[in-house]
Amino acid sequence: MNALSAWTEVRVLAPIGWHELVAETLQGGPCTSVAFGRPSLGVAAAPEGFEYVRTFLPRRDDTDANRARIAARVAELAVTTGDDALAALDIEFKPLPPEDYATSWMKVWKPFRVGRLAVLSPWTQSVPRAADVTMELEPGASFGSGRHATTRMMLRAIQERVRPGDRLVDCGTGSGILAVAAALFGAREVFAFDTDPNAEPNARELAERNGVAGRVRFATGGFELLAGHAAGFDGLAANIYSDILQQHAADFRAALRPGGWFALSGCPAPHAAATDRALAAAGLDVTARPVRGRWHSFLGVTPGG
Amino acid sequence: MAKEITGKIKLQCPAGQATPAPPVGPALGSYGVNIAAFVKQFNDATRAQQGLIIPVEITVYKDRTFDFILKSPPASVLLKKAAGVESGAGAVGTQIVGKVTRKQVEEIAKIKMPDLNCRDIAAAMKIVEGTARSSGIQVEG
Repeated sequence: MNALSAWTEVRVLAPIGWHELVAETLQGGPCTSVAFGRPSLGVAAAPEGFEYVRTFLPRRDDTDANRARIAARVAELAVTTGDDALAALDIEFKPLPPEDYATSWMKVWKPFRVGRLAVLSPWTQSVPRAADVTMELEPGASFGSGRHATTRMMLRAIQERVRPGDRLVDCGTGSGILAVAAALFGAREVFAFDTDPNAEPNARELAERNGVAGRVRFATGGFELLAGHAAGFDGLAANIYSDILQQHAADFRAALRPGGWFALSGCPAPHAAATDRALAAAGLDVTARPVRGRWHSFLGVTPGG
Repeated sequence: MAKEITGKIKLQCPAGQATPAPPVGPALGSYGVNIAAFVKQFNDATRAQQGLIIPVEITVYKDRTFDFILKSPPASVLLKKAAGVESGAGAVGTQIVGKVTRKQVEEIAKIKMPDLNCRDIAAAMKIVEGTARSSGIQVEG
């Protein structure tokens, strides 16, 4: 679908519980898929006990005959189910302005820069600066598009800390953006893992797209994957939940060589003090605490080295 | 990654055949989500179930990335499977195409309770029975 296309929304206010059957009723004929819930915040929320069920007719199929057929199928529901809750359901037909849905979402994805890192989308025409390190990223599934405050703080911390030849670990890699950035800034080898099985293929694709697949190894799993890597890393990145940061502070320390650096984020303000205490208790020396909005990061080194 | 949720989107799409057309396009597009990526991943995940309509719940994160979970098939699909029939009534409400037991209705109601938002099993069974009648499936017992 590469051109503008026009649709008519068919909206039914269905009693909760019956919404799946109403959806199925709407899906006969030219409509193939449905959405539940209000179409936008500009539309009043469904009354208590009801749910919007919405399907869409291609404009060429939005004929009086098709509208009558859909309305008749919905009207039959009270009879066929024997439940009066389905009598006289409210049904609306609302023509939508033409739009190319296959590409219109791309408008919100602009290139952006964090320090020397320029993150570009495949469909944008951008000319990076001579000193830029560029990453091409097609956002998709798996968290980590660079649009979140925590990711940006981590991208900055990584580029300021990675030294050529470093061996790094990225805990909770998501899209792989931090691991790939570390490789782009000169890391010799990055080991990245995530418990989400969807993360690994997405992260691998990002590494391949940016020509660093040979230096980044992705795995699916949790902190058990660090077993056998004691003191094995020069640097460690983890942009995860604050309770996980606290629980695994000792694992971070154990994975780093003496004098190794760490960059941790994903901690909302109310949990910052407890996270700080857990890191200190594990012997991690926090030397900087960047804050962006309500998000806190923790940067530092392990003793020794 | 520190996932911060922006919204949840509930859709029903044909297995292996989702497209950027509505409702997928406008529902995900309003959050700035990569529609092509969702369509590809949904179709890959559901290809083996072609011919079925699959409910899916998409979670959108603040950085406009997403993930999704596939939900249990609609009650009518489970009823047809339990009754061993290929499709529902030809003439809605007038033609009986199969039968299920009350026990089977209860089992389906248990599976569907979280999706139907019913407060108890009796309410869920009432909806499953109504769906059975609407699909030309008789409930015995």
